[in-house]
Amino acid sequence: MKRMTIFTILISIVIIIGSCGLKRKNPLDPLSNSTIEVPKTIADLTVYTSSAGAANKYVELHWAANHINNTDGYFIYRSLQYYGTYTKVDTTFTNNANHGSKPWHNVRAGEYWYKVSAFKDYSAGRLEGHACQPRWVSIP
Amino acid sequence: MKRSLLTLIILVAACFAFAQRFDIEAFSDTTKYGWKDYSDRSLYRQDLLERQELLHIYEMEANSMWDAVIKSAVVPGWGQFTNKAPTKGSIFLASELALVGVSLYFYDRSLYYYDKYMNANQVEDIENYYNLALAPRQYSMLFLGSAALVWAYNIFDVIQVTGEHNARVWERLMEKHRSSRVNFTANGVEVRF
Repeated sequence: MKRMTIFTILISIVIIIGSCGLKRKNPLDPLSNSTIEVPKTIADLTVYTSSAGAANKYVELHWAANHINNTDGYFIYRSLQYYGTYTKVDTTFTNNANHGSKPWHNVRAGEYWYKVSAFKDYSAGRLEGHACQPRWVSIP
Repeated sequence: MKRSLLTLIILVAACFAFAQRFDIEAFSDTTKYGWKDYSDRSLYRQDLLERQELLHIYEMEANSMWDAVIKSAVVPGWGQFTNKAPTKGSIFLASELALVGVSLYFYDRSLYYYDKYMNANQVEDIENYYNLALAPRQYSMLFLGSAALVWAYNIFDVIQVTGEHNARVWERLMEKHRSSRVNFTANGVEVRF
């Protein structure tokens, strides 16, 4: 009986040790650092494209600006499929972007998915928030 | 004061009342050990010497408890092997290796995702990688705890195994001693034909 009790106590200690958490040491982790404010997900994303047959094709994106307290800029992502791999195509510090306006932008006719996420710069690095729902774009 | 004095007097009286006289006759009785004559005494002496010799052999053949405990503490199962319990030793060694191995595997997986968590700068990645690192870390701790449990039980077991081994050694020696044709026992000489 005594042996059984000791065994039960030891098993309990093992389970308690096993359930111990892992320290959140990432300086950008909002759950470990109360000074970190997560950039809000952007809202009201609207998309315009260049007209059919345009020589320089582009995609214009507009959205509601986040508060300056939680956002310093925005990342623009593009993919060929909704659940595909999204590539960062532009970085902007205002609440609009023109993908196709810069020489290194590669915009061709076709169907794409665009999404935007906000970021905030901290001394430990740049923290990026959740991206918005992808928006389908057809460039004629 | 009066009560204390009365108690003291009662105690002294009780000491005198229950005190035993020194019995010089019982003290000088030569037959109290069962020796009737000189040959009896000689046989008893012979038996005592043989027992001492047996004890000496036992001390040489028996295993030290502390040695076994230290061996099993360093390598689980080692103490059991030296105490002629190879099955138990193998089980302890194998289970300890397996548990520590699995624990290290999960710890490695946890470190892999924890590094990714530390380098992540996207809120989703931070949360995902932390959760991915957390589960293997808990498994690792559980298996490590189980390994510690097995290790502790191994120490407890080696104490028992050493005791059993030493008991067997003593029984074997006694058996050998009894199987000899002439035995000197406390009751007299025992001769087998």
